[in-house]
Amino acid sequence: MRVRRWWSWTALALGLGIPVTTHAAGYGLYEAGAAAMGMAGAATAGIDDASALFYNPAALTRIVREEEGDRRGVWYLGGAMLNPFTSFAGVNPYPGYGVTEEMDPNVFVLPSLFYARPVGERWAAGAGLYSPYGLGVDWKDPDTFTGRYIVTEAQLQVANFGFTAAYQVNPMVSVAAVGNVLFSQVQLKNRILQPIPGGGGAQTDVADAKLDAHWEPGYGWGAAISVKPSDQWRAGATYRGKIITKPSGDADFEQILTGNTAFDAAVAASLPPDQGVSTVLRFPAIWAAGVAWTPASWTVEGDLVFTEWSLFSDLPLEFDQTPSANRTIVEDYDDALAIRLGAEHRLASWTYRFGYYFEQEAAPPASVSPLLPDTKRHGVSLGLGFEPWQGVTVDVYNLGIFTEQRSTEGVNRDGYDGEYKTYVNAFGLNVGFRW
Amino acid sequence: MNARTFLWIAAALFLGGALAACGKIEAITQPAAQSGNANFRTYVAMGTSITAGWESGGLVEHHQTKSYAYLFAHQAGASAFTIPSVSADGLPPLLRILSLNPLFITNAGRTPGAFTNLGQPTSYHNMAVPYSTVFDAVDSIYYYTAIPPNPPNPERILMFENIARHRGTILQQVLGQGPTFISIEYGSNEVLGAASSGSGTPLLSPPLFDAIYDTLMANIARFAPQANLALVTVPDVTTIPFFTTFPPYTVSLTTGAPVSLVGPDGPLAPADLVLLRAADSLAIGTGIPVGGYNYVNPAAPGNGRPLLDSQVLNALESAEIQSAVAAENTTIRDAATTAGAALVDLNGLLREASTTGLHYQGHTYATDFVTGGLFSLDGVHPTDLAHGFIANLMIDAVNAKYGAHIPHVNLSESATATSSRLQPARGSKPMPWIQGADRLCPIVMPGDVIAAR
Repeated sequence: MRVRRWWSWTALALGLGIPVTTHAAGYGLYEAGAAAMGMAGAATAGIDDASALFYNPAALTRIVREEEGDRRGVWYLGGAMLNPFTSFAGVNPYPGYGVTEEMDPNVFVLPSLFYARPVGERWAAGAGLYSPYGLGVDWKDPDTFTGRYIVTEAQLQVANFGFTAAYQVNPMVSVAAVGNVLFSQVQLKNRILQPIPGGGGAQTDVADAKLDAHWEPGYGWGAAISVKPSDQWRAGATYRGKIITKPSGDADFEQILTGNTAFDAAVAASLPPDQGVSTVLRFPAIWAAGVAWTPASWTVEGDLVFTEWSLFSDLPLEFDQTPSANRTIVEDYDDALAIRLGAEHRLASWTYRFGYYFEQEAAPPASVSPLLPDTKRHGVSLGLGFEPWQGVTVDVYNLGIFTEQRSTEGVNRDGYDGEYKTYVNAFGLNVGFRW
Repeated sequence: MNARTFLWIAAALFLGGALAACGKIEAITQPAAQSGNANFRTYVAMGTSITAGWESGGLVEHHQTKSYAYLFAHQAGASAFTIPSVSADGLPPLLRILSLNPLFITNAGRTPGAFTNLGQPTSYHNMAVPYSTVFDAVDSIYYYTAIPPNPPNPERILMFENIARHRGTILQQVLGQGPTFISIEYGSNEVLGAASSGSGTPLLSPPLFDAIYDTLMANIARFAPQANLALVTVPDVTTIPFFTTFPPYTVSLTTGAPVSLVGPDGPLAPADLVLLRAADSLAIGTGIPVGGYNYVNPAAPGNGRPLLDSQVLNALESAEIQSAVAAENTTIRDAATTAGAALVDLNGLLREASTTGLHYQGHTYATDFVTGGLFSLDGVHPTDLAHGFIANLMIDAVNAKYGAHIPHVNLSESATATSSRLQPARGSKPMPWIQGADRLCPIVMPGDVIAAR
């Protein structure tokens, strides 16, 4: 217990107790570095800063030795601000044509901190803190939101500590191994509704349910290869292994009085007591491969990113005292592929970048819900790089993510059917320097 | 580029992206029904109290306009769908809950309603008549008189007087409207009338039901060959709350061991069904063995006197009823096949409701009395929400049969806060309204056995 609490406080102290919203497929996040995201995340082959620990750690052997004989470390510090907006339009049989809902507009902050340094002649080591997964859901007007029996608010917060050792096999090829310690916690809020006794089928709100699982670590590994066959070509591939955590926490049930003593007493008798709860969070493996062409002042890269979302089969909730209240939120996700294309043009005093990506949806129609309105995504990015002082770089990007309007096709598992529309704007800034 | 320029460009990037945010999704409007190979312009419904929208022991406009037939007509785009509307508090006045524990349901103190559109010069589109059988569809001999050898049933006659209105048989009135679409729901009263009186002998034997149903279909084929049809199967009435609420056993107050209730032929068997109409007897200890716990009224000790035969449907009688239902459904299925009609499997829907339940708004609705959400306070007839489920079942069947695209019913508009009072749930937070409950019932425990009057 003491160890877990220490880890929890560490994660919180590092500022990752901040909710984020998902904007890669499922609850994935690809925003680890501003320069890479200026190219829409197409960086597996050509990454050129310490965020390589996420995009391709094998490239660190090259990155830390840009200056001959330099033994200083390379830092890349910053983060991203995410501004999502999701809305929903219902159809029959529930919640009905003409019904629209929307999430509260929120701005979420996503830190990314990286450090790498050379070790000996051929080795490099690095560490980083970032969030490769996350979710933030906050539906407006929880008292009247038609999907409140599913979720009113949800947060999945992830803090991933990555450690890597990269080795330059020869001037053309580097490889790396990565260890990941991923802390995660999840919070779910929803309403419990009950049919009115003797009524015509309508329900009334009888309780608020809040499930709050605490930070819990999970462990995984990764590997990468970076190849530079010529001055104008680079290639790379990475694998980030799956991580499964089993956080536990508290379940609180707060009754909402209806004003009818008899009914309220019956509800009170049937509500589970406040108690411990545990769940299983699944973070899928990610494969990425890319090729970069770097003629003169340009870098043009294309990447394929494959995420094994089929790992996300369900979200079980197990209660300590009332097993009869256990439930499993079935998800049955499918693996998803993304294609990322980006370019960078380095001018004399600044650099500009642009990119585009497309990512398949991971959720089948039955799993598209107010908790995870997953859909196909198109992202368009613009980025800038600037060197205000010798050895200091500032990178910024803005990424607009346009999702395809997604219908549940009348088969949502929770009986909540309609169409979702989401737009996410991501703005990020990182400062790189040697120290 | 200097730092100031860089910051300006960065700010422009952020603001440009943020302002590019797409607007809120537009509401989806209900698509117009596409009729496919069917024609819903003139839809006429035939059937029993289920089709009429009878709930909680009576007819009232608020529930008549929630009946599956009414909902279907609206969704399918029928040009009109007139009903024999009844004003509040219904005819007979609807039952309501006066207390939850002990459960006390009554229509005492309510004002009888009245039929409000008797002046309609044409027959109603909803020609369903409570108490009617398939025989009544084709023959008016018993509309306004007793069915021998039974004494007159004033309530039954009242319904025929105000719905059939001496304008000919139900079938004649249906055909007289030039229907383009007809739904037919018969068979329940043939078995329910018997079963709810503790008898296993249906009012019409299966062969007779089969013959009359064929006559009905033949007449429709002859006189309304243009009409498309939807035939509704008969639910297994032995699974509704009227038959399943009271267990045939209780526990001994001294040993805690299970003991059988006392039926007309001695101790009841586990498969025997105690009818909801036994509530008054149970409440005074009748049917409860001496020394047995009275689950209806713990204050009244068991007196050991037997329940009446009309208050119990024993296992044999229950099997006879189920057999009759199966035979009726064979007739209906065959008729649907022959006529090329859509088959609305109400029997299957009730089976699903009584086993896995029906799901809506995150809740599993069941066939439990009062708390299940699917049956009104008479323990026999569907609630408004259940009518929504039936309407969607019919829509699915018709869409599949005729290649139509009729949109589903909005269940949140079907579901109402009460099955006994004019209080729609939509528009305000639905609150349980149980008259006097605050004063009369300090607590009700889930799973408590409940009694009706």
